[in-house]
Amino acid sequence: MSVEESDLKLVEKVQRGERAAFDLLVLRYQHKVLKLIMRYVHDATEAEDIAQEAFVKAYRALQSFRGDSAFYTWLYRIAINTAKNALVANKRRPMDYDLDLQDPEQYDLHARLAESETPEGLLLTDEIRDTVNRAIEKPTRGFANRHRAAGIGRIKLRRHCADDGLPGRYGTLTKFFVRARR
Amino acid sequence: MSEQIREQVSAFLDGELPNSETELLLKRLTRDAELRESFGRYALIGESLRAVSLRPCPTVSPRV
Repeated sequence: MSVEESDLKLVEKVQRGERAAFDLLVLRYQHKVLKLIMRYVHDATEAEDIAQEAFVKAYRALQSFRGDSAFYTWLYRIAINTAKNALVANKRRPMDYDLDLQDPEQYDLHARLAESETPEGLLLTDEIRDTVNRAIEKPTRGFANRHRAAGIGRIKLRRHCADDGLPGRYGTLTKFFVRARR
Repeated sequence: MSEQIREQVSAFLDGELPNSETELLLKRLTRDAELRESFGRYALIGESLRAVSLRPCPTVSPRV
């Protein structure tokens, strides 16, 4: 079942009153949404607040979702609008510039936007990726044994990581992720 | 949590789980908090794997 179809299935469950189905949608998309919001807001804590607000809005509006677009497209719009509203509420101009190649003065602006990552943030992002890559490339003895025991089956990369290297708990990972994106 | 269920969670997130297995997995996921936690971890790891570094490559610019 494609991602879009399974999202729709989850949405239908939420519409029938299964709250836990919405948790799955949040778990599936929270990182994407956070990254999206951090294009507008560079403070991680503020971005988390906006992401939370966006998901609450989505939950409240979900009864009217009819699947005309993919769920994530719909959620994406809500998240963008929530982020822009937050900026306006804080009297800051949303960073929503259209690039006009005829206007050289804009080059500098876009260069600054592109370089909003801090060295520390980049390093943390790299650390996460390196850890993931190490976990994939150098499976532990325990993993190798399990792999052999199970036969060479269809085992997904992300499970290698979950089992064999990434630091402990989900919450910790989320914090790393948010800090890395700051 | 059995290997099979974890594999199903992973396949579900990739949009590759057969329709026939999806309904049962979703029922389990909505009832089992521990399984949902794994679901969240897998989603995060998938996102990390897809992340592309936007850092400019320092070795290219002097050659251009």
